[in-house]
Amino acid sequence: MIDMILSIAIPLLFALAIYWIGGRISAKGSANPGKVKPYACGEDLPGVKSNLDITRFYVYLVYFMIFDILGVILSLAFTANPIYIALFIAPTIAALLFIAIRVEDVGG
Amino acid sequence: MDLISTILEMTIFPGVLFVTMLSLIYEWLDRKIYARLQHRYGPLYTGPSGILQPLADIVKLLSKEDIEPEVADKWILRLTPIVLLTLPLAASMYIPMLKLDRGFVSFEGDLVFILLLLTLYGVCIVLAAWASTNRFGSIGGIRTAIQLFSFEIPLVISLLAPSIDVGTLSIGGLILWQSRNLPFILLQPIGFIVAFLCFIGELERIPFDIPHAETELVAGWMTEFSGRKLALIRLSMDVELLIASMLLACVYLGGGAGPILPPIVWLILKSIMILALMSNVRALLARFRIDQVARGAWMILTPLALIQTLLSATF
Repeated sequence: MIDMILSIAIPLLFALAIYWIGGRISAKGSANPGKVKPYACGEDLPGVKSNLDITRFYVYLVYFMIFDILGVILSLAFTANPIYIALFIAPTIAALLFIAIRVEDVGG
Repeated sequence: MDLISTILEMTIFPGVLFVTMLSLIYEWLDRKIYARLQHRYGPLYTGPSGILQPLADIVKLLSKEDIEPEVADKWILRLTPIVLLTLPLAASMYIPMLKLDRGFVSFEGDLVFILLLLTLYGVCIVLAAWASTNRFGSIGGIRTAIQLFSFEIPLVISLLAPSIDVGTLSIGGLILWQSRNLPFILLQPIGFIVAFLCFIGELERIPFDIPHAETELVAGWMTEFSGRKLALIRLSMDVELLIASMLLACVYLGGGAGPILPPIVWLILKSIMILALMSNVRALLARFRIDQVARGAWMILTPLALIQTLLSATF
C-alpha cells in the first residue's frame, strides 16, 4: 500500500519541484494591461468560460457509457468461459453494424 | 532502510529522473526520424547530433515569463500542468522495467490502473482548456473530449483482448506468458493495429492532432499556457509518449523478454521500434477532420477490436 502512495507522491513532488524552480528562474516582466488579456489573434474577444453544448454530446455520452460498461464487463470476465464472452460480444457487434447502416450522422 | 532504498529507486533509477531523461531522448529520436524522412537534419547543434535539444527547450521554457490571463481560473490553470506531468510519471511505476514480470508497484489489475491514469490525462486537458477562458483553447478542449470519447473504447478493448486470452490482468503476467509462447503481435495482429492507432489518437499526434491543429487553432488547448506551465506540459507529453510505446511493447511485443540482454534493454529496444513506427505514420499522413476521426473510431476501430476479442476468445 505504501508503494502505491509513493508511486503517486514522488511524481507529484517532482512536478512541483520543476514548477517551483521555474518560478525562481523565470523572467519577471513588467505589468501591462494588454498582456493579461486572453490571446485572440488581434480580435477584441473577451475571455469567457464557454458553456459546452451538451445536446451535441448526448449521443456520444450514451454510446460511451454503453461501451464503457462493456469494457468493464470484459475486464472482469478474463477468467470466464470464452463461450460466454463470445455470446456477449456478438450482439454488440451486430448493434454496431446496425448503427453503421441505419444512422447517418453519429459523427455529429 | 528498505523504505529509503525504495524512495531512492523511485526517484532516480529507474524511477522519475531516469524516465524523464529517457523520454527526452525519445523525443529527440522522434524528431530526428521525422526530420530524416522529410530530408531535413533535425536537431543538430546542442550536444552530439543535437541529443540535448529537447532538454534545452524545456530549460528555455522554464526561464520564460509566466503570463496568466486576467479572467482565467488561476488555480485550475496552475494545477493542471502539475497533474498532467504527475499522471504519466505515476503510470511509469507500474511498467516492468528492471525485472521481467513486475514494476515498482504491481498488483493483479495494474493494466486497468494504467488505462485509468491515461484517461485522467485527457480529462485534465479538457479541464485546463475550460479554465483558460480562451476561444481557441475551448475549441481545442472540446475536440480533445471528442477524441477521448472516440479512442477510449477501442483502446481498452484491444488491450484487454490479450488479457482475456491469458486469464490475467497484470502486465507482468502477460509478459511472462509471452516469454513462454509467441508475442501477441503474431497472435492478434488486428488488436495491435487498433491499439497502435488509438495510442496515436490519445497522444494527439499527426494524423490525429486535431485538438492543437496549428493551422486552425493557434496552439489549441494550450494557447494560454506559457513559461513553466508550457514546460511542464511539453515534458508530460514526452513522458506520455514513452509510456504509450512501452505499454504497447509490454502487451503486444513481450516487454523485457529476450535472450542475453537484461529486460530493460529489450524493453527500450522494442519501444523504440514502436516509436519509429509512430514517427513514420507522422511523416506519412496528413491531419484528419474531427468528424472523420469520430466516425472512423466508432465504425471501424471499435468493431475491429471487438472482432479481435471474439476471435481470440473462441479459438
